Amino acid sequence: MIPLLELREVTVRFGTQAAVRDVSLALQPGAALGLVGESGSGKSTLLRVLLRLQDVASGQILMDGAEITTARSARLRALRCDVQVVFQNPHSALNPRLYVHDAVAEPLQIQGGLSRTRLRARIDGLLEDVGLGEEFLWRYPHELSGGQKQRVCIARALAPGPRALLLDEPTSALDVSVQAQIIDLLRRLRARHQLAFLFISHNLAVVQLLCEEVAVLRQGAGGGARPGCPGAARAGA
Amino acid sequence: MSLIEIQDCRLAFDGFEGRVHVLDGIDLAIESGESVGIVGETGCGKSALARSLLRLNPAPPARIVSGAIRYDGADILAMDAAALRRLRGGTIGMVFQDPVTYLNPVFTIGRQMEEVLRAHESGLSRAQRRARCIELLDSVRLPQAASLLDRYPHELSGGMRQRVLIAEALAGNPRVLVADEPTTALDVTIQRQILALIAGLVARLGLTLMLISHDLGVIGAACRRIVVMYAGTIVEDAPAEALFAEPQHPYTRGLLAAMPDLRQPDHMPSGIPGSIPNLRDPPQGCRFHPRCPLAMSVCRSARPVLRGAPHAVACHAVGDWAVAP
Repeated sequence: MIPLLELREVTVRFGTQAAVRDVSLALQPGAALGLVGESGSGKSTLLRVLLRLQDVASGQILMDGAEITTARSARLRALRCDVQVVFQNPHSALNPRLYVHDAVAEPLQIQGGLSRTRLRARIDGLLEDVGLGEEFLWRYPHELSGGQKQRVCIARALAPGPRALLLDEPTSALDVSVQAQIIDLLRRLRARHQLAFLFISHNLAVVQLLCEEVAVLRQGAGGGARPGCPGAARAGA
Repeated sequence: MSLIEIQDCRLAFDGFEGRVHVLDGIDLAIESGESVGIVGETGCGKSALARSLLRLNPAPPARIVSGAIRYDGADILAMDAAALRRLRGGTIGMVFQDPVTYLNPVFTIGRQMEEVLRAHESGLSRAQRRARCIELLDSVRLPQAASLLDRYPHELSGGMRQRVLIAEALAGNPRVLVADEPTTALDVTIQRQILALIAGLVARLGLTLMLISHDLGVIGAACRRIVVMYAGTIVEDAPAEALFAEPQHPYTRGLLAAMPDLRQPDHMPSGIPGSIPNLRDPPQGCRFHPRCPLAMSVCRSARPVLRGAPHAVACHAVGDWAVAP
């Protein structure tokens, strides 16, 4: 099977420092891959590479088998419809001056082509998908709890109809009782939309609940398999 | 007499949009040598409680509405500035959550540690202060203590900085150590080291420990007694083993059920429905009743009392005194 996203021997340098060294990994369509490692191990850098927010010093990035290492403008816009991201801190990931409605509408408006009524129906559907009712449409982020904000971020990420979600510690800023709700939501969304997940976390117990495969990063390089994790743990390099 | 006694403590913050009832009738007695963990979620008042022990909540807006806080019989709420200075660091040492923000980036480690020593042990000469700093850094197992004194905070890792802050908290030879989320900003592997260090110091120096965390795992690793807080109230107070084996309060049970467990891959954690109440206008009766699976009509009107020993719980629906639904 051709991987949805693939990294081949990717190295990223900041100055003379290699933040990521010769890392290869593949995300298959519909699969859930966990990426664990301590601070500074290069997890978030890899995520930025996959989103093409970070240029690589060497190596290749492929999507559906086609190289996108240096893709520009239109190609990149298409890529970002297919691959969306949810960040760690929902408190800083939403524009404080946009209503929930506008935050979710923005990616749809960038795509264009939706009439006013269809846009509204789509937003209603997305919010329902993440368990938020109509009463949340015209609220500002500061009127929401952390868990509700993260649900809005997930709805916004689902808006362009992606095939993969890159999740960068989406529950680590939340309380455990809320974390459990978000994990449950992510599992249901993945099944409903046949999404692929790349799930970054430092919490192996959470990774275990969401992923079939785990890659371990250590000091910028893919490390060995970790016993105790489900599935064949597989790492690049 | 207990070393620390908090009686019916009510703390409020007066804000632009009204009064926020942060602590609502806290009763807590801590004996000398105990290690007590305070656990609860965002906004439950655990940090406010820890800070009230040292009167560190900024006043205004913070205001103790009623109640008493005593250390060894002395009324902390009535202390003058000089007594407070002795209390802070001299009697009760405190470690905060984020080691990055609690060290001054423009001074060396040595200078910041000496500042603490000057405040608490004014009789020391310069050489003695330096020797004591090295001794303190050794006690938190930081290698090459002497060279560390001339370094700046940015040259240290997060774990090392937290060790420096623990050393500073111990500089005044306190009898009580209050640690507010000391491991939250650190990597998992470093968390374990810091917890082991704190537990070791508490045992060696005979300290009384109050450890605040949102993480039951962290609390369970370092404390013999666990106090669970929800929305400004204590809902359960029990020996650690009893709390994990037989949690009584529906909130404690919900919290435990929400924790993912690496050893039980098939256990799907379940969240607690609803969200934490707005403390400007908290629910009447039991503050947990809008989210509680066992809520009855009495829960909406009467505030449950914390009772039972050593396993105390504040709930109308559980225990020998349970009200029939």
